[in-house]
Amino acid sequence: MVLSAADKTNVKAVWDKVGGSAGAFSTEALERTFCSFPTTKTYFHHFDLSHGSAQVKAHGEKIGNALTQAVGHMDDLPGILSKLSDLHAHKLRVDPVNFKLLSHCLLVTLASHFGKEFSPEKHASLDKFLSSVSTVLTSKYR
Amino acid sequence: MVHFTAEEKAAITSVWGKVNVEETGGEALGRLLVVYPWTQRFFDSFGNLSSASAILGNPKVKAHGKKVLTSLGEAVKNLDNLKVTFSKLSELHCDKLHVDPENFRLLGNVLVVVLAIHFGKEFTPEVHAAWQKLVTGVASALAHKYH
Repeated sequence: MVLSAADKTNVKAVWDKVGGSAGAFSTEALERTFCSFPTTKTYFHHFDLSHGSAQVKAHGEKIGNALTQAVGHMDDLPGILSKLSDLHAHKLRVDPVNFKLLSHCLLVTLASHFGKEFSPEKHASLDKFLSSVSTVLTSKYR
Repeated sequence: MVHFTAEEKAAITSVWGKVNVEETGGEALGRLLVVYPWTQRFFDSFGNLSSASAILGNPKVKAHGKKVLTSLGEAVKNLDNLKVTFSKLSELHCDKLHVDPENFRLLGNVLVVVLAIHFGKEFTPEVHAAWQKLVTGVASALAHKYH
């Protein structure tokens, strides 16, 4: 799966609109993930997962920052995500199925904030982008 | 079997009451065909599916989307009985339509995104979770008679 020029344009347009809220949106996506897919909480048994948790917020910020970096380097996702890829493979070992769940909840978050502006084309491009990021993050698993 | 709490049922029916079945059905099916283009394999007879705007404007897509979402309305009325409610449709999708059940999961998730677009902040994590449970239950019920 390759990100076309149109995909990259769409992703950048959406992320520009996200602006400084990448952390907040990612935090909301995490909350939605824990709520809709309780099995994902198993990776965070050491966290306070109650609504408004500072730990979840901090973690959302981390994810938001990483995604912002990825948006800025779509021509070299393996390069920009290399360290995170190592981390997920050797230390975190989050089962690959969970990346789809978080990605979906990120899409739902963007949809709920941007409404109709989250056009079918942007929806498709974001889905492809998040799928590419997920693939890179699980690429060193075995 | 999937079990819905009173709160989940309330979240589902309250959202459903405000859904325009025709519009939402067309949009959800349309987005499925745009975001996951391989799903177009089932719709060779639908005519022009060459671009996102062609798909979303296609009258056959809209009509079929309405059909699909009307069927979901039956699910909302029979939350405690999804497998029985979708038994015949399950057989149809397996024996006549030959649709891989993975497609039900894809459509369910696209529908959730469409609801988020329409309901915005009202589509809270809790309401969202109730709908994830519903679309998972429906997908599972539709796959139940496969053999």
